[in-house]
Amino acid sequence: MLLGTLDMMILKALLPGPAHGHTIAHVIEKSSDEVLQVEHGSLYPALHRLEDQGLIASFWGTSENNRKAKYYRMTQAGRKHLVSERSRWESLVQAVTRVLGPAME
Amino acid sequence: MRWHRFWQRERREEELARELESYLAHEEDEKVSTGLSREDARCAALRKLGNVTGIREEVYRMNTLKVIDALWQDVRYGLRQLRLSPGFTLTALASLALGIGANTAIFQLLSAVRLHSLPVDNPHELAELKIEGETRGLGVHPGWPNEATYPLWEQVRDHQEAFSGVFAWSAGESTFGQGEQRRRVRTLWLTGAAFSTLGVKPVRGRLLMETDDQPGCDKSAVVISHGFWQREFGGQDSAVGARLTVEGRPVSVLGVTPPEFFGLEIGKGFDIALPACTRWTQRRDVWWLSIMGRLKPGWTLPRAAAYLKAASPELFEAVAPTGYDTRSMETWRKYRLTAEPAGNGVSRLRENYEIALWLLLGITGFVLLIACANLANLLLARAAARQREMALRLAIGASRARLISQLLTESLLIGALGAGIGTLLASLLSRGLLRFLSSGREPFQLDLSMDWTVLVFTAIAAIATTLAFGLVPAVRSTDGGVAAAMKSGVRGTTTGRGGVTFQRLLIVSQVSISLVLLVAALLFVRSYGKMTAFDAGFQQQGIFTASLTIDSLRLPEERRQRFKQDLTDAVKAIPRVDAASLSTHLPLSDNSWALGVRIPSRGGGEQRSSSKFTWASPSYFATMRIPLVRQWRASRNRDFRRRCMKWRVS
Repeated sequence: MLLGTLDMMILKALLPGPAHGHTIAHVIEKSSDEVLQVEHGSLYPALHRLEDQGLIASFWGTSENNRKAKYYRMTQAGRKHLVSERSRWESLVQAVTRVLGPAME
Repeated sequence: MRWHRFWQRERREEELARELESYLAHEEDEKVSTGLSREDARCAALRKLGNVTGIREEVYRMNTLKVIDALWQDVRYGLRQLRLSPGFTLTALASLALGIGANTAIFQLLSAVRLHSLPVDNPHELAELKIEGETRGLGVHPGWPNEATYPLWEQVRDHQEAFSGVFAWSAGESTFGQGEQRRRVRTLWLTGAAFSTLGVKPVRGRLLMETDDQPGCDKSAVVISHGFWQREFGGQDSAVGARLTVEGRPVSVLGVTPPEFFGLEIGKGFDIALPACTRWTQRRDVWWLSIMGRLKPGWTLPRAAAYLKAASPELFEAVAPTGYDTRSMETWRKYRLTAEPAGNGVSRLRENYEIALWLLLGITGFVLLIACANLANLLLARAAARQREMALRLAIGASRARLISQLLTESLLIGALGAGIGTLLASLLSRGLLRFLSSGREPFQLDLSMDWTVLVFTAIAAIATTLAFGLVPAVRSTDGGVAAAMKSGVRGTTTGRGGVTFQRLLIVSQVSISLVLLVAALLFVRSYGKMTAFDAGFQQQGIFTASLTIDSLRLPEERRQRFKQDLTDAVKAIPRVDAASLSTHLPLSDNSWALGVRIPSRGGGEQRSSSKFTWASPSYFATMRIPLVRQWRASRNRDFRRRCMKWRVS
């Protein structure tokens, strides 16, 4: 997976509201129609890093299965970061697409 | 931010573990709901999560500061290594501690007596006025380092041109307090210009001035030292003007000297300072003063010395004592004054032991050299033994830098521990040495604060050695590549040829220096043994002395003899006292009283000489257990019925 894209997808997954690691992993998998197979373990260092950067914040709560879980929510800075990263990503994709030209059949 | 994370890294790691556990639980629940057994679900969840240890390590690395973590690891590893080879550790530490400790201790003493300046204004301008080659015993010498009579001092004061200020001083003891509270206090006698010439300012009141030291002074002024002020008055302002009793006379305190001023003799200190006019005599043959001066601007010490030498004949002629024979007077006329630097104060310790201390410093320098060679050898030997370990670690992927940093840490540990022990040892040694040099009656008090320059120098020398040779295993095992090192390692400890010759060189020099030191030490011990067994001619055990100034009792002349007899009887009456006697001088002390002697020869002429005299009561020889080789009782023979009770011929 491209560097930085995982961060973006985590932030996107947290846009609707707080979630714990397990949920985030599944959201990413499901919303990519199972194309992006996140190795769930790699999610945690990313979460840790994002929290350090202040883009997300964490708290311990009780999950829908009545288990203890560490929840993450997006911060104001995270929201801004997502917006800017998203536009950067789109311009990148467009640029790459232009370079590649129309699909060869 | 990173520091914050660093301190929390353990808590955060534990939190991550709980978080991962929570993930597994959720995944497991999900798998169970699809129909898997608990066990299978657990396995599937673990597979899905991936390498748990990997994740934890990755997060841990994010939280930690790599350098510090590595350092801490190295320190623990180093300590473990040192614990594993206690023989090596002890030897290395002992070498270091001795090398550093002994050097620092000796240098501390040297610098205290030699290099510290007097705590006064521009100490380098101060000069001590001395007689070249000393007085050679003429006259009365009540103590060290006095080398001027009062009349001589007056001559110098009134006629010299080299100094902007001159003063004379003398140190001794006087009695303080009344009745049973009477005790001795260390006393300085100073002429009026002393404090102004030295540039010492009072912390309270005022110090002695010219007006306090006039002929026929009223003897009621005293200046006290800072220490005395703290002890006797608790540092109260009311001390100024307070009445004290000194030598049985009421005096009042003028002021207090600053805490750093200890007088002029290093290692002595003083309690009270009195004007010089209150003490002793104007006699022309009593050497009880020392003269110091501050050079005028533009005058150098050699110029002042030359000036004094030129002025000497006139000065000494003016104050020549009377009643001495012509030979003594010839000696007197040959006296020449000279000027010596006095900025470091005068020091008995320096006079007596300076050369010995330099010698000791030289010897301890060799000890440091041996210590370093010893360390180098130890580390080289250890390097040979560890070569294989290093090679192995390189082979399984340790970086060379990592190995070097580990060995450096280990060496630094030894160095730091050794320096620490050395510092402790230094303060113990210098204190012990000082106690050894002090006699019971006159303890030396020196400022033995840690001398950082030497400590740092010796520590750096020792630690540099440790570092340099501590690195050898890393360098050697990586020299010819891992494979070569492994191979040589398998065979045991074959070191390179260069290494062996170097080690041999070290051993040879170590042994030779050690031999020299051993011989020197044996000689020292022998001299010391001779000194302790030194036969001074009297029995040294069981003698107690007390001193008193009969003058201060102000007895009329005719009652003095009676008083002396009563005193001796009273002392003798004390149980377990065998004998008691009176004497003007103690044996082996600095004081002396020389007089001219005329011996009539049979031919009618007479032979002239001079001798040092001690006035003693009849029981003196019995008390001191001094055997008499031949003796004559005071006989009726007119020629012998002089003042002598006994003659001692030895």
